[in-house]
Order: sequence, then C-alpha cells, then structure tokens
Amino acid sequence: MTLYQSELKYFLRSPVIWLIMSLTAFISAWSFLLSIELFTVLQVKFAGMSDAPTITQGVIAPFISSQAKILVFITAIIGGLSFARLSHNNGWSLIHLSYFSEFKLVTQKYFALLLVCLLFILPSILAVMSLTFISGSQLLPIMMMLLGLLLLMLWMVALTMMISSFVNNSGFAILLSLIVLMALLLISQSAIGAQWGKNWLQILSPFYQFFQFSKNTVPLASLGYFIFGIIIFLWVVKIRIVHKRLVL
Amino acid sequence: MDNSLLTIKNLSFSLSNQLPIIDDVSFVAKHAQSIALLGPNGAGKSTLLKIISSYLSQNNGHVELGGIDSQVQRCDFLKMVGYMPEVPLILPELTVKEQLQLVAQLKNSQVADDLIEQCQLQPVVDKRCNHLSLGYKQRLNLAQALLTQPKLLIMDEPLNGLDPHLIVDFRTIIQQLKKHTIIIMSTHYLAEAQSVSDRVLIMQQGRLLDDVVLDEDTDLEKLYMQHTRTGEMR
Repeated sequence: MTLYQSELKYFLRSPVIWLIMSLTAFISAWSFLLSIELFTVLQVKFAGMSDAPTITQGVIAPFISSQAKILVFITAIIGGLSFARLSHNNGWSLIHLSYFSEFKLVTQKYFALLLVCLLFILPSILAVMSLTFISGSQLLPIMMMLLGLLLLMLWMVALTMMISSFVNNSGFAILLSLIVLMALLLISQSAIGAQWGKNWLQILSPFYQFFQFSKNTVPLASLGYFIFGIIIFLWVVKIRIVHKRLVL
Repeated sequence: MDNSLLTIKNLSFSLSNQLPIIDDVSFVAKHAQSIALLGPNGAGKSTLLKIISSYLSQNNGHVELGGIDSQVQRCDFLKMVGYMPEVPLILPELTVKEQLQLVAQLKNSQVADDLIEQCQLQPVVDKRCNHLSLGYKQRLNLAQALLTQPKLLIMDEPLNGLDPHLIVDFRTIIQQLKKHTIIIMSTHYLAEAQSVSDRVLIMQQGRLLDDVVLDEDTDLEKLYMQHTRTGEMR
C-alpha cells in the first residue's frame, strides 16, 4: 500500500465524492445533449450562411470550455481535501514518519488527485471524442483543446493542493480554493483596459492560457506557464511539509 | 560509541518571540532502559517526545542515538525510532491491515505477522480503522511504532482512556519490549510509571526538574507532588 493508493482509496471510498461525480456527470451530459440539439435545430439556418459555424465551433469548443468551469469546483474539492484533512486525524504524523523525500510524497499525492479528477471528466472526453469521429470533424484542434483542458486541470490541482497545505480545515481549504479559482476565472474574462492594448492581468489567469489552446498550433508560452506553475506549486508544498516540522 | 545509547544534549524549542516550550533539556538513556516522563499538563512532555522522535525540529541542542544525529542523518535516525503519538494515527478510510501496510511502506519495512499477534490485532485486521474501539486504536498505534523493530520506542501517553484490562495488556507488552529497546513514555499514571519504568524524569514549564532511578523504596507520588508544587530544580 503506497500513499498514492491510500489517497485513491480515500476518495473512491467516500460516498460524497461519488455523489459529486454523478452530479457533474449529469450536468455535463445535459449540457452536451442540449448543445447538440440546439445545433441540429440551427443547422437549417446555417445552410444559407457562407461562414456557418462547424460542429467543432458550435458544440465541441463551448462544451470543452464548460468542462474547464466545472473543473473549478472539482479541483477545489479534491485538492482542498488533500492536506487540510490531515489535521483531523493526526495525518501529518504519517507524512513526517516517512523515510522518503518530501517531494516523492507530494508527487504520490498529486498523481492520485489527478487520477480522481480525470475520472470526473473522463465521460465528457469520451463524449467529445465520439462526436468528433461521428461527425468527421478535424481531430487536431479538438486534441489541442483537450490538451489545454488537461494542463489546466494539472495546474489547478497543484494550486489547490498548495492552498490545502497551508490550511488546517478541509472546509476552509475548499472555500479558499474556490475563491482563488473563481477570481482567476473572472480575471480571464475581464475586458478592463482592453482599449489601451493587452490586458496583462488577464495573462496571469490559467483560463486565459487555456483559451490559447483553441488554435491549431501549440502555444509555447501557455505550455511554459502551465509547466512552471505546476512545478512551483508542488515545490511550495514540499517546503510547507518541511516547515511543518518546525512548528507545533 | 555504544550503538544503542540515546543522548539528549541542551535541547531547546520555542516558537518565535515566545517563552521556551523546551528549555535546555539534557539526559542520557542506556540500552534496555525504560523511562517515564512525568509532569503536569503543558509541561512540554509531548513536545519533547516529538523532538526526540524527530517529528519536530529543535531550535538548539542535539538528539543522538548510537552516534546518529536526528537532524543531520534524519532518515537513518528515523529507522531506529518508533513513535507512538498521543492521538492515534488513524486513516479512517483504510482497514487495519492496509494502514499497517501503508506505514510499513513509508518506513521501507514489511508488516510481520507476529507483530499483529504481539499487539493482539488479529480480530480486527480487516476492519476499517474508524470502526475500532480506543483500545484497538492504541494497539494499532503501537504496532505502527514497532514496524521497524526500533531501538528507541517513544510513547506519548499510551494509557490514556484505556480500561484496566487494556492497561494490564499494555504493561505486559511494554515489559516484553523493554528487554531490547529504550522506552520513553509520558504518562499521568504514577503507579504505571513505577511498575514499568526503571527511571523517571519530571518536567515542568519545559525544564527537567528531576531524574530519578526507581527502586522499591522510591515514593514517586511524594516526589512528583514535591516537585510540581514548588517547580524547583533539585
């Protein structure tokens, strides 16, 4: 039994997680079917248009974008619980008794959280892939968007895990993670100062970086943003574990 | 260098700009010695045990076991130490067996069947940890501390909340362990301290007030009351 397996067991044996998973799956499925229905109805009007939106633009892209918003809630809950819950059952002792390096512990926990989050969006990814193959849409832009979604999830889980390591109460960790992620989401949609040129504040948001993946080329700057962000957040968690040994 | 000698030297610990929680504590423990750490609530017993077991890092001083420093060679030190915290380390989602396997993996060790037997955990081995009684939680707590067959076993108030039968069981386990392990145990039960320990350390306000080797004539209650009422160093 590794820390990775124990973390998975914690989440997969929790009825609340399954309840949240069913709710998000229901919401995703509902919005997916609704958008397909709407697209089918509008297809008659699209017939006369020269630049009518394709199914990728009309259904798949908005659906992947909505998944990014759903991930805000999922990662806040999963990541928020990761370290904050350890204060309730003396779980920090478990971390401190380990012979392994702190970074190994952090990565084991991180990969377990990722797998759980991935389970949440797996049905949506499968639905998108099925629609892509059935409609004969171009695969590349959709794969790019899915890559963006995956990187966004990796980034948000690392961030919420870091927040959780600073908090001793699971509920507060989830709330704080939600507030931070919602603020980042709002920043990405802000048009403040747009008339003066680029909104630099917007660039800080992972959601802005995620939207850069809706093109056919890999946005290297966004890729770097996500990778460096993940490394920094995990490094801070590692430092936090070491620091915990210096305080009561 | 004696490979089983525990040396605590000028140990101090305080949170920033506050009074010291541990104030210049020094003592030496020999192989197969059982030490009871006594003192009123807030004396610093648990903090001292956490520092000795390397869960907390001290501000000053050294902890060495067989010449291995707890801060410099932390991993090597941890391999020789078993720590049983006051609040049992219980992950509610795991069964007893899974929890032992997890702790064993983190300690780079294996769960031996005789350990489960020694700590009398056989009836609950497949039960979820959150369904255990306090007695079994403490036994699991002890089993986790013994996973690596430590040279130094640190127990923070192991008898808290146990019924008399369990206290007797625990006493038997400790008597067996003390033959080949240094045991440091904090407790409020003076009778238990006298029955299982060779030596008693009395603490108050982070300082070590007295260090007494027990014999049949020692009146531990009188000694304890005398020190903790006056708080004077002998």
